[in-house]
Amino acid sequence: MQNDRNLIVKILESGSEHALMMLVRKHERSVYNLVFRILKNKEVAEEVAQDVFLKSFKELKHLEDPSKYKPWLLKIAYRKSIDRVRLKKVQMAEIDELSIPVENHNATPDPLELLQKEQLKQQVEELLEQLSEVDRGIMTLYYLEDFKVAEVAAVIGLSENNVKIKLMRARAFLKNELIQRSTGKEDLY
Amino acid sequence: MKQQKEDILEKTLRELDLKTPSIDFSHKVLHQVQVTKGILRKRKNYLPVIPKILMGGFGLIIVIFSFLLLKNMDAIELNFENQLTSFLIITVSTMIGWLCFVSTDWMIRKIAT
Repeated sequence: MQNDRNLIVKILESGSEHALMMLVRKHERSVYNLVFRILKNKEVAEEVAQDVFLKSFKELKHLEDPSKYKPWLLKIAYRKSIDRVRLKKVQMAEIDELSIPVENHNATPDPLELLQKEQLKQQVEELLEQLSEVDRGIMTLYYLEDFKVAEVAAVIGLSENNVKIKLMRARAFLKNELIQRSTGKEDLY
Repeated sequence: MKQQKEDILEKTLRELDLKTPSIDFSHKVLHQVQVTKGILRKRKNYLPVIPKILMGGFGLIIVIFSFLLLKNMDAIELNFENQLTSFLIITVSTMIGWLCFVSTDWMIRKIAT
């Protein structure tokens, strides 16, 4: 797969649609994942993700370092998502792909089931939804995109210390919630 | 123990599934780019014009030669006995023939694709 720099040069120099498609395919999951985790609505996330790419191509000539296309793109994605949240155009409680059937917390959880990876992932997904949009953005970039704290800070527009604090708080929240859910099985978390 | 708890959570967070857009997402983006003016600035591709220019130029030369020959049969006088003239004529003819062949081949390929 060609690197971002080469693809961007091709787009700028010859208006290559093939290079443009390759660039979109390379980053569509990262962009969509971040936008979706902030907006929690499939249709709106796809619309915003398209806008993100469109804006990036409009401003591509202003990108100083083409090798830093991905962080730049995710910065646009984050800002557009937060703008959409602020405009309250998203019905947060609507169609929700991440929603998980409500569990009966009174029932004693089966320790073996709790150990199952998929169930734990589901619980974490559910808990992530309870975080703020900013925190969800930070967690997505840090854990799913493997960004460093400094890179996350650059995308979100916060100081590194703030990002560290937010990460720490979010982790503590997830840990406490998971412990509460597995009452009597704290040692799992 | 605390470290182990942290590790499980961290590992789970890193292994969360990446959400994927619809299959035709990239096509939708491309369509939006195409309908939005000023994003893709296409440079003119002159390559397909080259064979046409070559064929046109060759045709023009033939026409001029024909007119000159019709008007005055002595206008172009080639001394085939001169070795240099023979060599030049053979070289130029070969080049023109080769160009015609390449141009025709190129145009056929263009039309076919």
